[in-house]
Amino acid sequence: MVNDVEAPRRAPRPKRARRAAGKAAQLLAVLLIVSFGTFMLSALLPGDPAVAILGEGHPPEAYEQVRQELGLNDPLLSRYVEWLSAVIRGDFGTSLIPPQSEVSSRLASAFPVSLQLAVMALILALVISIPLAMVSAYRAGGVVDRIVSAITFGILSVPSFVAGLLLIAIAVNQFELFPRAHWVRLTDSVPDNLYHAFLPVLTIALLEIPTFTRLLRSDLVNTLQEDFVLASRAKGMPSWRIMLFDAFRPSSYSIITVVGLALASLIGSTVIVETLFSLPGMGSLVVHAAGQGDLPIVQGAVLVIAVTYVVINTAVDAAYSIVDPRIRRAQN
Amino acid sequence: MIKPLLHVRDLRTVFQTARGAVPAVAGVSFDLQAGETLGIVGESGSGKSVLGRTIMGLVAPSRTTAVHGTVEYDGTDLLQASPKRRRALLGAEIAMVFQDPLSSLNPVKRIGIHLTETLRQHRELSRSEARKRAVELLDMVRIPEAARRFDQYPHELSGGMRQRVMIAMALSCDPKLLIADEPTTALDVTVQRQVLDLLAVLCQERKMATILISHDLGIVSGRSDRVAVMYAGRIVESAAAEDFFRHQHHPYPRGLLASTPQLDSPARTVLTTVPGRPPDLARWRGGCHFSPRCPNVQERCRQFEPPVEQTTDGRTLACFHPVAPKGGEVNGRNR
Amino acid sequence: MPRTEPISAITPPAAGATTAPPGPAAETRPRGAGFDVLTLMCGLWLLTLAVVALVAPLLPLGEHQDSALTLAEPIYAPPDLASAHPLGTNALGLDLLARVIYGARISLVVCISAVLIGMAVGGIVGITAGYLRGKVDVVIGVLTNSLLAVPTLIMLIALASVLRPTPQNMVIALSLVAVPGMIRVARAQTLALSQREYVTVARALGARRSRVILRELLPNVALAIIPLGMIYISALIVAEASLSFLGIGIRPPQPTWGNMIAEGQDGKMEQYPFLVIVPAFFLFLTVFSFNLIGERLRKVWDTRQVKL
Repeated sequence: MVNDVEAPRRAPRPKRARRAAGKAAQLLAVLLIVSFGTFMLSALLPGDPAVAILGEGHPPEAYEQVRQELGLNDPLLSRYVEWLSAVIRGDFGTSLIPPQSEVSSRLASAFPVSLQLAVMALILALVISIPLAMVSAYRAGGVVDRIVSAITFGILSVPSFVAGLLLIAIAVNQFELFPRAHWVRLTDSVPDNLYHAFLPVLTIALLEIPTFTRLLRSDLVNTLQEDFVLASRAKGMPSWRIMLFDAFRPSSYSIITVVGLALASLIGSTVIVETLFSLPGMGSLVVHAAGQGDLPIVQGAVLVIAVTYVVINTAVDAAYSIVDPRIRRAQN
Repeated sequence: MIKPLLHVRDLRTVFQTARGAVPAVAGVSFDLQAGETLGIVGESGSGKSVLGRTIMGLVAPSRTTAVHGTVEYDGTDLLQASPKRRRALLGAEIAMVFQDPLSSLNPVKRIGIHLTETLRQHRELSRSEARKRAVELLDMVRIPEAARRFDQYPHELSGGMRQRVMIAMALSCDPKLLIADEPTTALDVTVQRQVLDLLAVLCQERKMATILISHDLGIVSGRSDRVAVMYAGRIVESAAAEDFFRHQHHPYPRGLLASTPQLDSPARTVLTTVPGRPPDLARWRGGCHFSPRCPNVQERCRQFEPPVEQTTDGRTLACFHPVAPKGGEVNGRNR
Repeated sequence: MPRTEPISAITPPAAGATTAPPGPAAETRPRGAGFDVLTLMCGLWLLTLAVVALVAPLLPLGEHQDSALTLAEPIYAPPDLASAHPLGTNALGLDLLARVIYGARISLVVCISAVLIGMAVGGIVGITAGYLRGKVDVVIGVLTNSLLAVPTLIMLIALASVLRPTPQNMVIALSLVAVPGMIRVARAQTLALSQREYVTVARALGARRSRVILRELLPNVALAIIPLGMIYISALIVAEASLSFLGIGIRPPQPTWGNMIAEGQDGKMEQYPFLVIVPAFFLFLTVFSFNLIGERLRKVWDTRQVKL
C-alpha cells in the first residue's frame, strides 16, 4: 500500500554552498565594476578640477598644489585603490563646492529622506494596487477590469514630473490643502512629517501603481484558472477567501520582485519629486551636485544608491524562496 | 420509488467561443439515489468533466457561458440557489475529487491547511480540534505518519499521496454526494488501483452517493451500480451496471467496451478502437453526433438527432438503430 | 484546463477538441473594435509627429529658439488657433507650436537612435551570451547587472555631471540605459530558442555556428526585442524630458519637451497653464502611443510564441 515513492529530498549541502559562493562572487564583481565606473566619472570630466575648485586667474603653482593635494598626478589604478579603500572606510572625501562639508555626512542626512519616501510610496502603491488588481481579476474582461486597465495604462504614460506639477497646481496652489517646499524630519514631528510627505509620496506612488496593478492582475487571472482554485470553490470557500488565501500568495512572486526592484531604484528615482517638492533627499542632492559639477557628492551618492540596489536585490532573491516553497526545492 | 438524492433534468452547458457556441453538455438527465454509484464514461471532450463541474455549480453562467436545466440536490435546485446556500452545500454535503492532485492542491499551502480550512468553513471547530480531525482524516485515507504530513507541502508528497489528501479533503465533512472526476487518470497505473479501491471502500462505509467520471470503462466496471456513457455532451446509453456490461444497445459503448484494456492486461496492449474522432460541436449541423463514426449508420441518423428514450428494461438510450442482444450470448466484456 | 487523458483507449487524443475549457474565456475573447481604432490612432499620431518633426524647417512656423527675433512678438500669448501663434507663446515670445515640434525633433531623434544602438549592441551581446554560455555568459551577466545596479535617472545625472549635454552625448548616455534590458531579453530568447528542435536540427545537419545564429536565432530574437524597443523609446523620452526638466539635459533656448514643461515651474503654471499643458500633452500622447503599440506588439509576439 505504501509503495508510493516519496518525492526526492533536498540535494546535499556542498552544492548549495558552492552556488551561494558563486553568487557572492558575482555580487562583489558587480560592486567593484560599479565603483570603478563611478570613480572613472572624474576621468570623463572635461576641464581641470583644480580650476573648478580655485576658480580662474590663479598662478599655475597654486593649481599644481591643489592637484598634488587631490592626488590627481598619481596613476589611475593606484588612485582608484586609494579612493576605494577610503570609501570602504566611509570616507567619500569633501565636497568641492562650498560649503565644503564631508560628503559622508551629506549622504547620511539625505539617505533617510529618500528611503522614507520610497518605502511610504511603495506601501501606498501596494495599498491601492492590490485591491484594484483583485477587483479587476475577479471578473477578468468585465467592465471594472477594463476601466482599471484603461486608467492604469493612461497613468503609465504620465511622467512623474508632469504628475507632480499637476498635483501641486491642484492640491497646493488651487485648494491649499498641502504646504509646498518644506520638509519636516520624521524625528522632529511624526504627524507633520507625514502631512508634508503626503503629496510627494502620492506622486511617486502614482508612478508605481500601474505596474503593480497590471502585473498582479495578470498573475491573479492566471492563478484563478488553476485547478486548486476550482477545488477550493468545490469546497464551498467564499470568493474573497479564495482570492486572499488561495490566489494571492501564488500570484505574488513577480510583484515581490518588482516591489523589491522598485524600492531599490526609487531611492535614486525620487530625484524628480525631491526636486519638485524641494525635499532634502539623495535625488536633489545628486541633481544639485551634478548641476554644479561637484563630483565627490555625485560619486558618493551613486555608489550608495548602487550598493543599496544590489543589497535589496539580493534580499528579494532570498525572500522569493520564503514565499514559494517550491523554489526551495527547485534551487537544487 | 424513493425521492432521488440528485435529480438532473435536461442540463445544458453552452460555451461561447471564438468559433461559435459549443454545447459541452447538451441535455443530460439522470437520477442518483442515496448511496448509489453512477459511473459516467466518455472520451475526452465528451463533456463529462463539464457535466461534473456544472452539477457542482463551478461553471458559472457568464457572458460566455450559459447553463440551463435543473440540478436538484435533496430538494434544493443548485442552479437557482443563492451563492451562499450553494457554498454551504459544497464541501459539506457535496464534495469533489479532481483529476490532477498536484494542480488541485495549492502549492503554497501546507497539506494540513487544506483540510482544516474545509473543516472550519463548514463546522464549528477550534483550531486544535480541526487539526486533530485532519490528522484522523489523513489516517483514514491511509497516509502513513499523518501527523508529519500535516505540515508538509503538496510537492513533498507523491502523486498517490496527494490524491489521498484530495480524498481526505473531500470526505472531511461527511458529504452525502461525491463527484470523482477522473480521480486516478494522473496517477501511475499501480497506484491507480489502490486509490480506486480506497475510494470504493470509503464510499461504501459511508453510504455515500458517488458519481465516478472516467474515460475508462475498466475503472467504472465493478465499482458502480449504474453506468452512463456520454458522447458529444449527451448520455447516449445508461443502464444498471450488470445489464450494461451484459449487453450494449448503442454502437458507441459497444465499440468502447471492445477497446477497453482490462486492468490485468499488459500496459501497452494494442486495442481495437472506435475509428474517427469526436465531432466538432461548434460546427455541428444536425443529425446523430455519432453518425460519422457509427458502423450501423442509416440515412435517418444523418438527419435527425435520436431522442433519449427509456427502454423497457430500465435503460435509457439515444439511438435509432440499437443493436439487439443475440439470445443469451455475452457480448463485449470477456471476449 | 482539464488535462487531456494520457491513455485514451478509444481514439488518438482529439486534436480538434470540442469543448472549451470551463475557465473564464474572457481573456481570449476578441477585443472590441474600439481598441484597435485606438492603436491605429496612436500609430497615426506617431507618424504625423515624425513627419512634421522631419520637415519642421520647411513649415511656416513661428520662431522656436532665437529670442532676439521675437522682441516684437507678444509674450505669454494664450493659445488661439486663429492667430499667428496657435498654441500661444512663452516668456520670450517664442512660438509654442514651433517649440513643441522642434522639441519632438530632438526627443525622437535622440531616443530612437539610443534605442537602435541599444538594440544592436544589446542584441549582439545577448545572443553571444546565450549562445556561448559558460564563462562569457557569466562575465556579460556581471556587466549587465552592474549597469542595472544604478537606477536610470541617477546614471543619467551622473553622466550629465561630467558630459556636456549635447544631443550626441545624450544618445550615448540613453543607449547605456537601453542596453542591459536588451541583453537580458536577447539572452533569454537565445537560451530558449537554442533548446528548440529546429536549432538542434540545423546543427545536426552540420550548419555552422554563425549560420545558425544568423538564420535561425536572429529573426526570432529581433521579434522579441522590437516590442521592448518601443517601450524603451517611451521610457527614454520620459527620461530625456526628466533630465531637461531638471535643468541638466539639453538646455534652453534649444527647446525640448522637458525644459518647456520646466518653464511652468514657480507658479507660472497657474497663471499660464498652457505653458505646461501644451508640451505635457504632446509628451503624454507620444509616450502613450509608443507604450500602446509596444504592448500590442508584445501581445502578438506572445501569441506567436505560444504557437511555436
